[in-house]
Amino acid sequence: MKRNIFGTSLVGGRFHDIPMGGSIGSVMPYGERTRSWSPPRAPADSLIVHTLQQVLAEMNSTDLATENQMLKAKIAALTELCDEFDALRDELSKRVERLRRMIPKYRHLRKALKEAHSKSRAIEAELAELKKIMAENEKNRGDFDPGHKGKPFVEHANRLDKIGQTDAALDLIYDRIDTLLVKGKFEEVDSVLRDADPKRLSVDILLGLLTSTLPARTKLSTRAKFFAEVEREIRRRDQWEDGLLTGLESQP
Amino acid sequence: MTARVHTPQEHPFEFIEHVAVAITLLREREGQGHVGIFHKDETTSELRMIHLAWHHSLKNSRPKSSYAWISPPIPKRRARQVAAFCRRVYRANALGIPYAFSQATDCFDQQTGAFILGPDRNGLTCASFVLGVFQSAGLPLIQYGTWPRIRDGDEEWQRLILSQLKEDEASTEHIRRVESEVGSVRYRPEDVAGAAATERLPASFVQVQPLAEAILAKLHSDGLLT
Repeated sequence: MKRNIFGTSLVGGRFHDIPMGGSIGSVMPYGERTRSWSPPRAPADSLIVHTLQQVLAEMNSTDLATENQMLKAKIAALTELCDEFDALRDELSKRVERLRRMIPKYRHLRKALKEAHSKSRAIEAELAELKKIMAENEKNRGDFDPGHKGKPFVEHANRLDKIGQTDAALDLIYDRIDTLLVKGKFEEVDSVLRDADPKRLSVDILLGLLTSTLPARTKLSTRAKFFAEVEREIRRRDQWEDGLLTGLESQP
Repeated sequence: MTARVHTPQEHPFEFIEHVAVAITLLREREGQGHVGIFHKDETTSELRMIHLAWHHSLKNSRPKSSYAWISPPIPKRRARQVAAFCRRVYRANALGIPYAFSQATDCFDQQTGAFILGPDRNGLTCASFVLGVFQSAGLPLIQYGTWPRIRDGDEEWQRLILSQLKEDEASTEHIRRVESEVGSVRYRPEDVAGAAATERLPASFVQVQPLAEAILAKLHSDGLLT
């Protein structure tokens, strides 16, 4: 038998190899053993184990209870958090839905913005053109002085008309013709009508020249010829309509 | 009969192409109309109303919703010229136009440097101003010769205007001239509007008369008062 410092314990009464005269833990030389019998009882180690098991069980149960409580608290907190997340998710979903609904509007706005940008570029181009015309006008201000050889204002009006500024072109014609008529410069006006080429001018510009010179029709020698040329040109372009020149004739 | 007479509630001013004759009833004078011309500048997309409001008071105001409007039967391109003419008239008459009962002329005034009012003319009314603008642009609205010399109430109205000119301290010379015109032909605001509502220009008095009455009735029924 192998050396055993604790002996063999068997529950139910039996022989034990136990060290003699010693307490648990004392060591006797090998061979100096005695055989004794002890009545059946719960051995101390078993009791300890049992106690420990009980303690452990109690401890476990205490710990588990505490842990359960903690878990419950955690679960409660998590549930609360989940509710908050749910609410947040609902709110976010609503926002997403709202934003989704706004997408077409924003697309429209973006499109409008693009158009505005492109219009703004077109206006800038027109403005640059107008500035050029203004600069030239400034340079040619002496157009109406006798003997001045500047560019005729009809050219400027024609350019304005070509960039879609027809009313501004007409304002220029009415102002210049009126200024000349008031100063009694009928020859100048005759010269303007003589130089104006109906083939190069729009119907609106031609009508502007005829209308603005109408009050002085009896004093302008070239106007009747100009009227005839204008009528011919408009008919040639197939832009004629009833009443277009009615009342603009030089002879009533 | 007044199919082409529009209130801004029926047809907003945006529908106006270049020009339209504008008419309203004056709140302060029951039954008295006031007429002007709506004109649009395509460059600025701005609609304005040029009208002779009173003695030396030529206005180019923003349109009011209390005015009815009528597009005259003229080609669109000619309407554009009338609009340009309106702008020029306003620029050329910074000092306004005197108020009197002269007939408008289609000749520019070389002495005053202004269109519309000839050298031997004393002044215009709101109605003869509108007639003068269209006439100067080669588009007379009415056949002047067909207008009756005097109608009921015309002379009383002219005397009322004369007394108001005196109250407003118009010059003695101007008062004297206007006095000499009392009894001359009067073109009423509704006559001008009625002419614009006819199918063909220039319109005779017989053509205009029923339209003028219908326009006045419409202004009253729609409560277009200014």
